[in-house]
This record gives sequence, C-alpha cells and structure tokens, in this order.
Amino acid sequence: MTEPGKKVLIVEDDEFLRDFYQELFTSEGYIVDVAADGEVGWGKVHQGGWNLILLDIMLPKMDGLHILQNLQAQPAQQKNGPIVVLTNLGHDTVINQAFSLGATGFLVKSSLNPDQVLSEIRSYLEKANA
Amino acid sequence: MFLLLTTLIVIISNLLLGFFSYTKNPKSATNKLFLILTLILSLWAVTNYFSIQSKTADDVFFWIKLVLTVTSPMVPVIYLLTRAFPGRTIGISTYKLLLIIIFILVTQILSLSGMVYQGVIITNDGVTPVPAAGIFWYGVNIVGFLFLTLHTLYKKYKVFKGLEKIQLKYLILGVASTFILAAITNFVAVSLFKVTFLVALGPLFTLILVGFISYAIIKHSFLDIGLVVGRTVAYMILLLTLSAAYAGGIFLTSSFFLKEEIRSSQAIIYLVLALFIALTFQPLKQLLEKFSDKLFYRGRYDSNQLLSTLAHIMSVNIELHALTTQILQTLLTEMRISKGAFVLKGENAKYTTISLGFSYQLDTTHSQLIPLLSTHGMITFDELEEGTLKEEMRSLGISIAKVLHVKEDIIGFLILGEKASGEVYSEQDLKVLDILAPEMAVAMQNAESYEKIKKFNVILSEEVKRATQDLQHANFRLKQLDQLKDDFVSVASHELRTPMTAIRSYAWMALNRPDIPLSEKMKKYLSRTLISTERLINLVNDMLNVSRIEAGRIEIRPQVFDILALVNEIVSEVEPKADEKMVRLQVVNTTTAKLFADPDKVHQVLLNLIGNALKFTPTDGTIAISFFTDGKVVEVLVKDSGVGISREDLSKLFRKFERLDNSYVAAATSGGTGLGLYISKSLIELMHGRIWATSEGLGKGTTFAFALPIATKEIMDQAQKFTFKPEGETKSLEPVAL
Repeated sequence: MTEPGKKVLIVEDDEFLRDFYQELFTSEGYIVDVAADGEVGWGKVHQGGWNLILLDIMLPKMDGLHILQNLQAQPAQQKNGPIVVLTNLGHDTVINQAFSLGATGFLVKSSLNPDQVLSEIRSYLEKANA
Repeated sequence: MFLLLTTLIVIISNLLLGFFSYTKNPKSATNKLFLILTLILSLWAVTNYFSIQSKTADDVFFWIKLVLTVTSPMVPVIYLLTRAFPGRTIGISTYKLLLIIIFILVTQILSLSGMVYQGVIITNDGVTPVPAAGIFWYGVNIVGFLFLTLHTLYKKYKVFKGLEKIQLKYLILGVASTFILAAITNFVAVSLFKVTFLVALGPLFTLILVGFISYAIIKHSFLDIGLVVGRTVAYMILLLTLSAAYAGGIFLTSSFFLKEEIRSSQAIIYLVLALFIALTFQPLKQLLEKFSDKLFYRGRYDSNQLLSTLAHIMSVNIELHALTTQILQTLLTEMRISKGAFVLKGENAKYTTISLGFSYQLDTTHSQLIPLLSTHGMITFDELEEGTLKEEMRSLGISIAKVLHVKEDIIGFLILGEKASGEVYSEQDLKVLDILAPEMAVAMQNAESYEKIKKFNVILSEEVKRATQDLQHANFRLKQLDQLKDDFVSVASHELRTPMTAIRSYAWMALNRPDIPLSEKMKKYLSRTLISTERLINLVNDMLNVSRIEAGRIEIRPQVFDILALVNEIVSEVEPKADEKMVRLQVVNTTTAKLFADPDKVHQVLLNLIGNALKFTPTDGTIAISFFTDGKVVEVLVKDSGVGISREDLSKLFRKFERLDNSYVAAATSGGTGLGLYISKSLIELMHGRIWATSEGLGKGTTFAFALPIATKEIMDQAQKFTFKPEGETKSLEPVAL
C-alpha cells in the first residue's frame, strides 16, 4: 500500500482528465491538489512542498515548460519532490527540453491504463524517498 | 708572297664571318663573342706575318710581343664562346667574367713587358724567342682555358640534341683541331724544341676552324648566316667575273680596236671605274625610284605591310563591330579611299551595314547590286557600261563592290567609295582586295558566330536562372507542405489523444473499480468500449509512426545484442495474452551469433509479428519462433498454425493499409490497423535487413521471417552505414500494444 499523506499536485487543463487523476489518486490515499491553467499551476508549484508534481505541457496562460523555466529562476518556497511531465505530444524535443529544465520523468497519458499510471507514480515516489 | 696571300685570305675570311654573324644577331652573346674571336684571329694573322717578315731582332721581338698580347685573350674568348653557345647569354656570373678579364689583362701586360719572352736569339735556322718566367703564366692561360673549354664542350655535347648537337660537333672539331695544331706549331715547338719555322703556319690553321664553321653555316644553319654568306659569295663571284670581263674587254679594245698601248695603271683605273658603275647602278636606281614615288605617286603604300596590319587586326578582334570598323579605318587610310562599308548578311536575308563615310544606310532591298554581286564576285564602277546599275553606283558613290564569301556561303559585301585622289583603283589595290576578301570573310563569319554564341549564352543563363528559381520555389513549397503535414499529424494525434485518454481511463475505472456495481451487460459494453479505445489509440500511434518513418525522422541506433534474449523477453511479455487465447508460444532455443541492429526497433517488429500471429491463430494453436543463420545474417522465423495466406495475398502483405482480401467482412474481424507489417518492413529495411512471409496456403499457417546482419568485424567496421540519424528532428516510435 502507498504511504498515506503524500502530497500530489496535478496541473492539467482538460477537465475530464483532471477530475479523473484527482479521483484516482485520492482513492489511493494521496492528498491531491489540482490546477487548471499554467498561472494557477505556477503559483502552487512555487509554493512548493509537494512530494510529486504531475505537470501537463499544453496549458493555457503559461505552458508547462515555462513553469519549469520559472522554477529554475525562482526556486520553490518549500522543497518539491520529482516533477513528472504528463503529455500526449509526440515530440521528443519537448520531452528533452523538459528534462533539461528539471523534469524527472514523463508519462504519455493515452498509452497508460489507470493501474499503470498508479504504478508509475508509486515508483517515482519510491525513488524520491531513496 | 705566299705568306702575304694566306694572311690576307685568313684575315678577310675571318673578318667576313665575324661581321656577318654579328650583324645577324647583334644582341646574342654567341655572335658577339664569335666576332671578337675572328677579330683576334685576324690580328693574330697580321702580327704573325709581321713577326716573320721583320729583319732585325728588335723588330722580331717587338712583333712577337704583340703576337702574345693579341693571342692572350684568344683561348679565354673561345672558352666564353663555348659557354654561351648557342644562346644569348654567357651564363657566367659578372664576378667570374671580371676575373677572366683581369687574367687576360695581366697576361697581356706580361707579354708586352717581355716577361713571357724576354728576347730573341738569331740563329742560323732563324729566330728563336727566349722564354722568361712569365711563360708559365701564359702556358696556364692557354692550357687552363683550353681544358675549361673542352670540359664545357663535353658537358654540352652530352646534353644537346638534334641540330644544336650537330652544330656543336663542328664547332668542337674546328676548335680542337685548330688550336691543337696551332699550339703545337706556335708554342710547344717554339718553347720546347726551339723550332720556329712552323710559326708561320699558325694562323693558317685558323682556316680549318673557318672551314668547319663555314660547313656548319652552309649545311646546318650555324649562326643562321647561311643566306648572307651565300649571297656574299655570289656577289664576290659576280665581282670577279665582271672584273675579268671588263679587264678582258679593255685589253681587247685597246689591242685590236684602238691600236693603242694602254698603260697598266690606266687599265686598272678603267677597270675600277667600270666596276664602280656596274655595282652602284642597282642601289642608285632604287633610290631614284623611292624619290620619284614620293614626289609623284602619293598613293604609294606597302601592300605587304598593309596585309600584315589587317591580318593582325583580324586575329586580335572577335567582336564584330570593332573588327569591321578597324578594318575599314585601316583600309581607307592606307589605300586613301574616301569611304567604305561592310554590308553583312544576317538572318532572313536581312543585311546590316557598318559604314565609315557613307552618310546613309545603303538600302539593300531594292539594290541591283546584291544579286549581281552574288554571281560576279566583284563589280568595279569604271568597268561597267552605262545603265541602271552604273547609275545606282554613281548615286551611291560606290566605286568597288566585292563579295565576301566562305566556301559557298556569302557572308556579305565590301563596298568602297572613290579614292581620295580621284584616281582609278590600281592593280596593286585590286590585288590587295583579292587577297583580303577571303580573309575578311572568314573573320566576319567568326565574329558573327561569336555574337551568336554570346547571345545564346545570355539566353541560356537566363533560362537556367529562371528554371533554378522555379525549382527553388517548388522546393520551398514542398518543404512547407512537408512541415505542414508533420505539424498536422503531430497536433492532430495529440488532439485525438486527449479525449481518447479520457474514454480509456473512465471506461477502465468503470470496469475495474470495486465500488461501482455493474451488471454483466454493462461490463460487456464497457469492456468493448475500452477495447475500441485501445484500438483507436494504436491506430493513431501507428499512423504517427508511419508518418515519422516516411519523413525519415526515426533514428536507428544499432548495437550488438543477442536476438535470442530479446525474443525470450518479448515472449514473456506476450505470454499472458497468448494464455488467454490458449495459444502455445514456443521458442527454439538455438544460440546464435550476436546481431548488429537497433534492439528497440527489433522489439517493435517482433511484437508486431507475434501479435499478428496471435490474431490469426485459433485456440489451441502454436506459434513457433526459430532461428537460422548462414554466417552473414540471422533469420528469425515466426511460424503460426493459423489461417494461412494465399499466394496472391502474400504479395500484398507489406503494403500500407492492405488487407488480406477485399472482403469487408474479413476486414472488420481481422483487427489490427493494416499498418503493422508496413512499419515492420520499413524498420527492418532501415537496419539493412530483409523481411518476408511464406505460407503453404490457406489453412496451412504462415511463416513470417526477417533477417538481420551478424555483428562480424566487417559489419562493425562499417558501423556508420548502419546508423541513421535524421537531419532535423528525431522522433521515437510510439508504442503499439497488442
């Protein structure tokens, strides 16, 4: 079972997916917060204190890469855990850019069933603990 | 008397040779040195003569000293001559030359001051000079330079070829024989053997040299004075003949007709006068001609000079306008013609006129001149009878019209006006024009061809520029479209994926969440929704992959890996699905050589092939994976016990969107995207492998196989060939699930 109390931030603009991830993680025992656009997302990321951040790239107002960039310039007020990029984009360049800006990993949303999503999250959290 | 004669002959022949060779080529060192040598030889003959003729010991000694002085430079000059021969320079540094000159001067000073011979003793046999200390110096002069000369001659003889070699041979022979003999008689005999009577022979030996050189001149154009010498000799013979004739005439006249005695002095005077008149007649005549021409014949010009000037103009100019204007200018100026023009035939029987002095364009369309000229070649105003043609020519001011043609083609016409002096065109003029016409025709033709080529070049380069621009445009458009397509595919697939993710995730949740109770029917519906979504996602991924492979965006990173291990890995991946269908997966565990290919791509291909096999193998069937190698490649065979493929369908297998048959029924149930095999084929071929399928027929199962290169040393040495890195963006393959 997962460690309870882990704080997970989900920054995703699509309502259905956002709700889905929130429901999925909450039922697993995580403490979940969401952001629907880049600005709000940046605010919460900058606040910090998350064990894991799931960050979509295509976001209104400020895209995921900009959030990462800003984070490099202005580090979070409280330390964050790994940042995992959520994407359906087919561009390796974007993923490489995300990595160079500080992302730890990425998930291709459409290719994972919910149980696979959960196991991926679990492994990221475990690695962060180690 | 004999001595005097021989001396005179020696002097004259030497001087003549020297003089002719010098005037032939005054700038050449060879000719200059040869002249100097002949002067020395002549002086030697003179001083030698007097030294022999002298009566008193003092006189003899005096002349002997002079002989020595005069002959001091002889061998050094010969040495310098052989160094220079046959070129224009001596090929020696100024420093060395200076040394030689100083050496000569010292020898001369020693000779004059009586240090070589200090006196003479008169004996019964004759006069013997008494050597002094300086004789060794003189000896060194002679012998030393002789050796240097022979050495130089030898070196040159080895190197020279052909005519030069022949000339050199004669020079060597002449020099060698003359001076060896002369040295013997005049020096060795005198100094060592006290024999003096041979001294007189000394200068005579130069005739040998003269002889050889003359032969070389006549036979082998030595110093290129053959013609001059020939002419001089002929002249001399003429002189002699005339003298003899006149002398004879005078004698006869005086003896038989005048019955008078003529004194020999008178006879000689008459002879000389007669010869004088005979010989000066020709030059005087030429002088008078020139003078009268200057006075009375203003229009005189040198046709040879004119022709050569025009030939030069024609060779230097290729541009039509410059060519014609310059020719006209020269012609009109030299031949003193008032005006002239070239009428050149252009395209479509049109004529262009380039004129100097004609104040209007010659209208060639109505002219009678043109057609007539074409048949006659040249029409002269003065020779015509009165008629329309003569009227035309009078009104246009044309005196001469001449056709310019090359073989059969008429290039154009040369039109000339009156001569400035109003005279008729002379024979000389017409002859010059005759000679010029064909030359000018050719020159014009060349100039016209050149114009055509220039024009054509301009047109060509314009066309090329235009075509290139068009191509560049088209290329740019293509690139734009290509990029557009890429963007579309990427964006579209992304856009498609968002809702698909939602469908998939929620359907899955609905199916798998324990807190949501579902009826059996519901479960079935949701399950099919989920499966359909997964199919949809696979299709999008496949299409993305196809698009990326075709755009060359897929990177191939080959490694050395074990295919057996990879196959086993995939089999365990696929096992759950196979178990579901109750199909057996077998791997024939043969150890094979390691392959050199991109394992990720091979993984994809295997998944595709095994996935296909699973799809088309019914329950309880078997899928067997085996290996085969020939040392160069390893073949991986995936054999299923499924529905099999007919022969005609086999050929359609690896194409895009192709189905096994055209029936819609089969298409609906066979599943898959129709792109899998196409992608596999593309990937295998990118890795320099081969992929194919065989089947015994319908119902007899199918074997899909691919072959990839073994990682041999040869292959590894060419690793570059197997790697493929796309320029621009690299994309990876999207995973396609079974």
